[in-house]
Amino acid sequence: MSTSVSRMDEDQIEVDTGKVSVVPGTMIEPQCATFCLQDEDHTLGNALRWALMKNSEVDFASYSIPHPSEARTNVRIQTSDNTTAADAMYKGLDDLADLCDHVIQAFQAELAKGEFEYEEEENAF
Amino acid sequence: MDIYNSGGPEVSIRSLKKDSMKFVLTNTDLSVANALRRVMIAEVPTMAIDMVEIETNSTVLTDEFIAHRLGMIPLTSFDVDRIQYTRDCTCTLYCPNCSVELTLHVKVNVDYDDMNDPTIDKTRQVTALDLISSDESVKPVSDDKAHPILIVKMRPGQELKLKCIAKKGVAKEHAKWSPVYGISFEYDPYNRLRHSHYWIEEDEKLEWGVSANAAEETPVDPNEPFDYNAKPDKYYIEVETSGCMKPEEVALRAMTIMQDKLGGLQIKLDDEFKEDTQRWGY
Repeated sequence: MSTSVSRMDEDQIEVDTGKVSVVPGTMIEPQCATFCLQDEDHTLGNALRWALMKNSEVDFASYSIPHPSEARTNVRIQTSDNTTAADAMYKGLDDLADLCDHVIQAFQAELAKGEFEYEEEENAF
Repeated sequence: MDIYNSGGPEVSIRSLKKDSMKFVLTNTDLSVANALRRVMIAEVPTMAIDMVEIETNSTVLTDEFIAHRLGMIPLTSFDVDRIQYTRDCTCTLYCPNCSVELTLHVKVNVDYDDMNDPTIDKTRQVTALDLISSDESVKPVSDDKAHPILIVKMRPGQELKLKCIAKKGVAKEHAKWSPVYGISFEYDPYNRLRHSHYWIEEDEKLEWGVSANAAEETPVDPNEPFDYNAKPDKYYIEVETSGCMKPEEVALRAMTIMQDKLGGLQIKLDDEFKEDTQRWGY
């Protein structure tokens, strides 16, 4: 018994604390990969999948949450020969961040315009 | 960029009140609108009571019952950026950088003269207003001073003395940290896309009326063929906050949080590929 315990200690796989990793064995060539996003869920997964699919160099993009009690999301990307899966991922994240920025600006512009029904605060914080 | 189909998303605010906001998000994908909704509900940080140290409790409610009730009280969180998460803080348990202390001490004295007079209401209502905060910017939300949040009712002779530690957190961990009480999210009020399948007795039109948002869209002609390529692009969203921060702030912060997540992932992706260049083939 004691030997098996010590063996376990030696073989213990280092816990991956990185937020993004490539699932082993899924990157046969640079044009395809399954990325594992730690601590992400449908909030990011679905929007990112959409942003990836908007890239014309991406042939395939999908996401899945392998198990509901594990906080991780897998994103599969396959691209044309003009780019790589990692670059497509980078572009997808970039595009989505730009889009968020666009929404923030649209929101702020709308607030500044003030053309809406408004109820004055009775007692400010 | 192709991610912006014709100019990108547009926002149109319909009404803005102290604790609720109605707006319409157009020209974007359902997944983006849903991400905004999900982040507003579960990932915008607020302050909430997380630890309670009870010194005296002779009320009818148990310690854990009161601790739970205290946790549910919304605290003003407009200045939450100033406070750190306890897990990121250098302190061992909690400190002024990552927490706010609130104290409560209520003792109901026995008045022997009134003791046997049934016409006098001797019940003392302990409310959120009895909580004394150490920080002016983090205190119980109290918009309605006439009807404050009730914690416990006490009778003469009882005492409650405790100290609460409010911490910063997100609703992904516990719903008490959610800045919103409710979000209504609707698209395609006429069900043109047939995403909804209504349960009916006899007649769908009679049993399922259209919502107020339908006024902004054209009704479906019953003879028009079903467009299976159609996609939703107009989202009617209403945010109702707990009063802990302004509704427009919740929405703006939500988008900023989304950006931070994406930026963080980009950095991690960079690191991952820098570490072992050969492994990835370039």
